[in-house]
Amino acid sequence: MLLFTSGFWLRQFSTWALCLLTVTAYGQQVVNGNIISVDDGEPLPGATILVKGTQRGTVSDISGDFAIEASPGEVLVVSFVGYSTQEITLDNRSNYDIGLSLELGALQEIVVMGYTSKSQKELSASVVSLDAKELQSVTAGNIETMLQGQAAGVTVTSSTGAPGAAADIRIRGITSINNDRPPLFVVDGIIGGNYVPSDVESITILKDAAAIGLYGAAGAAGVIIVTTRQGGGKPYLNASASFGIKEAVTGNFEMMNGAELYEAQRQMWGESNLVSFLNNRPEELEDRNFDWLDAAFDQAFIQNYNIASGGQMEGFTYSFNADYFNEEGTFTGTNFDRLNLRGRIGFSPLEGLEINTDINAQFSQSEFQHFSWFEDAFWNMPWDDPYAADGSLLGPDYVTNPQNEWYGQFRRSFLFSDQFDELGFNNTDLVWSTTLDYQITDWLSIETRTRLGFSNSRTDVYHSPITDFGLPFNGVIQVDQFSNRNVLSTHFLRFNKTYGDHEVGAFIAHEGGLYREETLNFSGQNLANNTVQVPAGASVVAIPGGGYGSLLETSGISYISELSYGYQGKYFATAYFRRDGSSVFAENKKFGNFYGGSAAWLLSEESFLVNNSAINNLKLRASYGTTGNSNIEPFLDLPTYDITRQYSGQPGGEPNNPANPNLGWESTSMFNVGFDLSFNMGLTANIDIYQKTVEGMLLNNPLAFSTGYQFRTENIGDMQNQGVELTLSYTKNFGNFAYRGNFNVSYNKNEITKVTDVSNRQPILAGSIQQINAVGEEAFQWYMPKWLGVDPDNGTPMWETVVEDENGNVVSRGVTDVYNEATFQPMGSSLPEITGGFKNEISYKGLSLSALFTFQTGNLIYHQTRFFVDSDGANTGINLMRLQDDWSRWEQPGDVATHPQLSRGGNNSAHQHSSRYIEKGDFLRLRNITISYVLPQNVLSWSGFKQASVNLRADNVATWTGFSGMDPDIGLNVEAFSLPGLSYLKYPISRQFVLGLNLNF
Amino acid sequence: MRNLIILLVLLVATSSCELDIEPADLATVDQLLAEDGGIETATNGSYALFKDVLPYRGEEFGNSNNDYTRHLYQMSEFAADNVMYTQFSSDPLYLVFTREHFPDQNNSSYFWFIAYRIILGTNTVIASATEGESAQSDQLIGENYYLRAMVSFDLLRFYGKPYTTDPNGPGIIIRTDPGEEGIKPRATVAESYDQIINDLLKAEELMDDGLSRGVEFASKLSAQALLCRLYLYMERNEDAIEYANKVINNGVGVHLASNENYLDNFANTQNSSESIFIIKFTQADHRGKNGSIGSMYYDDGNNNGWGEVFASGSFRTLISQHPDDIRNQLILSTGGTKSGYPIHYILKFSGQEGVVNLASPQYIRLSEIYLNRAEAYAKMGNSAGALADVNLIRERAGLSGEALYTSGNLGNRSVLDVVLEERRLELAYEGHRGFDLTRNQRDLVREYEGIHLENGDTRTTIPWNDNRWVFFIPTNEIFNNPECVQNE
Repeated sequence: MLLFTSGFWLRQFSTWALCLLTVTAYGQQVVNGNIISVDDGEPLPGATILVKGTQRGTVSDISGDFAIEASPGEVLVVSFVGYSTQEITLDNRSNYDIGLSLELGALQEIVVMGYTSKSQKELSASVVSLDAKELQSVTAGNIETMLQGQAAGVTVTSSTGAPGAAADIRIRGITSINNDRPPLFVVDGIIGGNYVPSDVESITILKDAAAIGLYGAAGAAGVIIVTTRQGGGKPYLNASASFGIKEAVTGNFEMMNGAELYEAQRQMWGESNLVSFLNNRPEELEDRNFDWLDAAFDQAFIQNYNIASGGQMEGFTYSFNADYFNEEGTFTGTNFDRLNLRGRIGFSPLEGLEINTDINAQFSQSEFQHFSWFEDAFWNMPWDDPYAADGSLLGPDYVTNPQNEWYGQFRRSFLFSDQFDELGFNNTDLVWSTTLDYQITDWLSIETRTRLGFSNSRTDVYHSPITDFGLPFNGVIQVDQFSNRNVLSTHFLRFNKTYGDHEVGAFIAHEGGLYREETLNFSGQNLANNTVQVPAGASVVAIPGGGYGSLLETSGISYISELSYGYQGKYFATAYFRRDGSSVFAENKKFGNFYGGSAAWLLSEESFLVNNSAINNLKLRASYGTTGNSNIEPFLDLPTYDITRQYSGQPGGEPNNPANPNLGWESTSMFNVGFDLSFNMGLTANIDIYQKTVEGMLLNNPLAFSTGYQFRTENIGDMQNQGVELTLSYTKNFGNFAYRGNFNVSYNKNEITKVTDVSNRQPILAGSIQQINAVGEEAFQWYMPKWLGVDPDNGTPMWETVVEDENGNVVSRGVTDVYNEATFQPMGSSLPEITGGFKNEISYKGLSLSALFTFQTGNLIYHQTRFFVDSDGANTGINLMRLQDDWSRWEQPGDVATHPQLSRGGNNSAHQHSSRYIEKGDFLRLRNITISYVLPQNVLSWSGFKQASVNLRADNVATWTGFSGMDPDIGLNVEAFSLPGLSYLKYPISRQFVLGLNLNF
Repeated sequence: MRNLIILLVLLVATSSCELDIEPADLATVDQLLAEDGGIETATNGSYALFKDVLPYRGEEFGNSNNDYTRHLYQMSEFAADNVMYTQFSSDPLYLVFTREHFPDQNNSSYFWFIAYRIILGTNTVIASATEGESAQSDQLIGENYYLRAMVSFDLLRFYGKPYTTDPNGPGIIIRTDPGEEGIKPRATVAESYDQIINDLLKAEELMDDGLSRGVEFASKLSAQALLCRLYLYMERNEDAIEYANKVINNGVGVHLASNENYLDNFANTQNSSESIFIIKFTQADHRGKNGSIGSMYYDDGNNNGWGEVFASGSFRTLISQHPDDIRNQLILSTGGTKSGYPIHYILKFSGQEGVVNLASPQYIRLSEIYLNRAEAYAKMGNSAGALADVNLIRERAGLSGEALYTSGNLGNRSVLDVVLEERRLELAYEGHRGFDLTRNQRDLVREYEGIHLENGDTRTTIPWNDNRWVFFIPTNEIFNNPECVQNE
């Protein structure tokens, strides 16, 4: 395989090449030294040692040792391919320990691009490559979470802290409004597939069209290429284990205690209703203080064990990886387990033919919580104690009975339900991948890659006959089974040849894929008794969707080609063309053509720079390309009836989709310019500027409801994303000390240029909360009345009224204290403008300390939870949130306050959706701190380990934000009941401390 | 080597996929309507939308509170004076009660959408089916005309002002062509009534008494009953009486439920003798606590309902004047309290097949027809006729003697007062009260406790011409159909 990211092969090669160097030494004092790689603590054989300004030099031996004649005051220049060069000024010592660290972005490094591999040198597209070490400092069950803050242009948000949950990733902003999608994952060269973090050797993120264009539709939102550890080479056996403890982080969001709530409710009733208040809320409540959150959340454990082995024997290469990950949730009764097994063998049955085959099996299961349990944990009142006098938990027979004392409006105790209800999810995922590569001549090869995938998941919900949700139905069982099968196959013909200064590469490929998913759902009620938990125990199949299933198939065909050219190792260009067909589009619109190209100029190889002592590498890059998007449901082109309905037991159908015979590909074009610059002093800078234009965006074009439809999916919108990405990294060694810093920041500005043909405005909604996509504005603007604060005279709310003329120009603005007179208007976008991260690492010999910060700014969050718990008295039956430090409550005339007077039933609709609850989402987070220690060789020599390291990691250590909710890091995807930037109660993220141990045999 | 190339060629060949895939759970319009029984399936689908929850506003699986029938009953009833609220609810039905409407509150905007989805379904059938092919197919076409009329009328009542207030004010957008997607203004209230009446007359003509598919489907009788209601709303009193007579003297055996069967009339509408058209909810359709009409009214202590909206003080005062009035039994006062208010549950939408809060509400039942006739008589000055119809209803409720009306015992009340009071008692919670008030230009007097304004004070009087009797048109319609004017 063409994989050199570890530097291992380079090291071997250099040893032999540099040993041939003839070295002449002049009679001076002998200085001894040892050179190691600070990254793994291993000796570096073959490193070059030169005395600056002289011809004296030597190379290190197999143990990394060297000896050279030099005198104090002279400077040793120590260099090694792939590592950053270090200069050491000699003093009176005769012995030096020198650590070199890996140079990021080293030119020779091979970047795996999926369909192709390229060296950094010839790369003309905008890509980021990260090795496993960069990622694994953060402890998480998935790569998505690990990528946070690591690469410019990559926005990662953790919308939930549920165990095992993946984060949301967007590369260079959103790609589409209604049919946005996450980036494409490509594992070991084939789209899709499975892997676990511990098995990852490198990740490449493709950002510009020149790079993602090859992936066509699937890659329109960016591509993340994951390469797992391959076999071959020297045998290795690696074992690692980590375990840690975590706790829920709820940020600035705090609920009241019993006394605070009592005081707030007293104010709601008001002095004039004191008698009624005391009747309803006896004074002793003030001292009752049950902490529901403390009962709901607890510290939890996380553990991960991994064994990996690989090598080569008798014509075979092999690798094997077994990984077990277990994460308990901080919320009661939740957890996640995952076992991943992978085995791969490679062999060569014929001269020139290489076959690799790989099976990955993943089994996972989790226990989750009913969503209402979160609401109950936060909203149940501190005056209600879920325990009976005898210490047992009170169940619905007590709690839901209005005759019994219970102040909370919802009359639920999840603590009781948690004892009996079972909510579980399990998933089995099998992937078999095979690649076959035949080298016909030294410049021509054919290759085929095929992946077969099967997955089956099942959600089991059981509500016992005695718990809240089971009681009305005498127990409920619901089973949802989901399975999919897919196959993807790609066949290449590749060409690679060098003619003098000209390097030419090309491939053509054909790709076909089929995806089929089936669901089967059952729900039944009236269970024989409390112990039956299988569907057979249900005697009635009788709630909506009691039994149903669905079947969905889509298919695609693509023809792909790429041509690349290099001249003199300085000028590089590539061009691609692909033709994609998808089953989801209308009859004559199934195919789309996409093309693009890129060019790079390696200035630092030019004569005027090649000897420049400051600049080590300078490359200019430019690219342009188009990609398609087909991420919509099938059959949206047809006028259809949904024929799954029934009325009074008779089958029924309703017209559910308006025809669109013109439904076709959405096309995104991206223009990118950038440069890579690195200085010998250790500083590297990468800058990219891009413009991404979406045309014919597949949009739910809203139709007036009076047509009977909500929308028709059409190629109607246009949108632009413009952005800048900057990465700076700096590496410097001071003797045995080394410093590495990395800073990345990206700016993205979104603008909608066309949205519907009628009104230039497309409203999108989640329940009663609205956003709007309007021409000339950023996507996902909150759309609601503008809050003008509290009237100091009487403590009532004020909103803005806007009068517009026929052309939509504002004629006048006014103030109203009546909610339904206020004007709905755009109030700013939920999309972040600036995201980034920075990482500092210092190391001394085998010991290193690193800290990773991430940040985000420019987005507006709608803090929906406040509609309930910061509603000025509208809600008298739930607990309330404490006011933030800079908030104030109106109490008497003249008060200039942020919050209206408390009033039972609410204060003139002050809590209705308005910009009152819109808050800035800016934050800075200390995402991770890692201390690691690589045990020195002399300690290890007796143990039989080749290498051993320990590390201690802390995640989500601290967050600085003004946001009043649990977490300003809000998901960006549009999903059921949610909008991008909408913050409601969620599974809180965790602060965690993990100890890891890694052994190489 | 050659074998290998053959193998590769084979692999390429076998991986070519078919791009034409047929749906498994959908049928194209042409397919469905062309097949045997297709029109019946399409027609049933329109009824299904009375109780099904459609994906709406990004809520992929729908919001379980969203269905036509629940909104129909709550948007009408909660605006009036038969209910009291005990606590805040984030469900927009709360906004109906407090009248703090906004255009995209989930209930009124979903109602607008789902009503027009049903109209689209009927338009599709009407456009493709041919009249006169058989009595059975004419019956189905007639059902579609009825459904289009009924849904249009419900829209007109929620989004337009009463005919008696302003027949030239904005009514509904009339959609009769399934292919029409264009921009279109609202018809006037009068034009809307004309359209609906024409549809109902057409339905009456096409359907046959003997071919009714059951009380949960539209029938000739239901078309006549709805015509009676429409004529009453328009104060075409003679026509209202004519149609009331047609319905009362029906030939299909529909007659008033007896006193003994009265409570069962609500729990068992399918078999009630006075049901004319019911919206059928089977056990499979029941959404329990989240989404049944009864959920807001009744909580049996087993988590079957929220039970947080009670019978109002003024309604209880009225009905408890005669403790032997059987209708008292539809209010359950447990003696307990919720949120500090004494419990007075409403049982009108519970108990079908023994299931708490499962009900198939009567969209029209015979008692209403008698009371429609009574109101029309009262307005025409036929006091004797009006009081006779009212007394018929009161006697059935178990009242007798002094509790029955004569022209001499009305005190200072008019005959119309008495008729409207009886309509309130008999038809409470069935969605009539607000329209009865506005049609007759009577103010809404909420002289009873409950929480909806500051400090729990609900003692307000809302004028009959208050703008918030009418809901706002959803923003979607205003944005995408610029000729549609918003309500004031």
